[in-house]
Amino acid sequence: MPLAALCGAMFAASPFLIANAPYESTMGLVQKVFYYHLPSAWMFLLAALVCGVASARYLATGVIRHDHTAQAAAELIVLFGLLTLVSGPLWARRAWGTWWVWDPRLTSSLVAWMMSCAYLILRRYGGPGSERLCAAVALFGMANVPFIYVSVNYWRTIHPATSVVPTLPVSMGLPLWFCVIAFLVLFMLLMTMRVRLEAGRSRLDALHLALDE
Amino acid sequence: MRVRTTVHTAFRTICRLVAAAFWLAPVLAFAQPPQQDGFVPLSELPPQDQLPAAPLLIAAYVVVLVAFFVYVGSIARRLNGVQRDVERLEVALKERPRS
Repeated sequence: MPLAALCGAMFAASPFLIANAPYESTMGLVQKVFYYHLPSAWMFLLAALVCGVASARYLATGVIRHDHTAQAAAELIVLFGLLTLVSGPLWARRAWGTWWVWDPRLTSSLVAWMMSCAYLILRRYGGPGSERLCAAVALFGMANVPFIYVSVNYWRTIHPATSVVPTLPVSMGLPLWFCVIAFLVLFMLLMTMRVRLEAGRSRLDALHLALDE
Repeated sequence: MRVRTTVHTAFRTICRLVAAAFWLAPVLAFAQPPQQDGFVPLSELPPQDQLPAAPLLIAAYVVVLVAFFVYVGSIARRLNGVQRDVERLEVALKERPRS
């Protein structure tokens, strides 16, 4: 509950900070999409890492708790990935003059998002034993994360490089880091809720078995 | 017989159109855009070519916030459902006669 209150307060305060941030000189107003786009993208990558690590631990140990974490994180990959892939083109339409370009950053992000969708579909309709197959899919998804992050530095693309964030002036960096923390708190809140849901489902399965015996 | 010929001809025409579309799609997709004379900053574009930024910005923020509310609502609904079922089954398990 304190986490939910903190998250709500931070998201309520964020528009004021974003509105007070200065305009970027070439893109103007539309550049302010950045303050939600970048934290969404970082949470998307973080969720993919959490899902991959939890899946690896599940494959290694067989502990069901890790599988719950992986499943929760997979849903968050889809959520934050969708927000990144929607907010990005809305920004790009004005800044680049096009909704989408098939550059390495955008394409690899789309692939990672589609892999997490595949994970959830497989999980839903794969039947018994699909959890181990899903864990393997999650490992491939995690392997994509470093590629997504560094792709803008290794290939010449239209997307800004990773060096932009450290060079931001304080007036733009402050609202950005505030939003990053707000998104991180939201990520933790959603993970907690989602893992609790999976634990509840496990308990429900155990009760059904106990009643059948 | 005549009807069959007409249907057959129509089918062949549709097949040709679909094949042409498959052939044309990549050609159009990978066609080079017309060459531009030079770099034109966004602010110097004529008014009819300028896109208003505010609707795009508002759309981005609305999409993010609506998605969060919908997702939190969905988790809360699923959690309540599971919790209710767990309580119901626990009661049923307690009330079951022991063999």
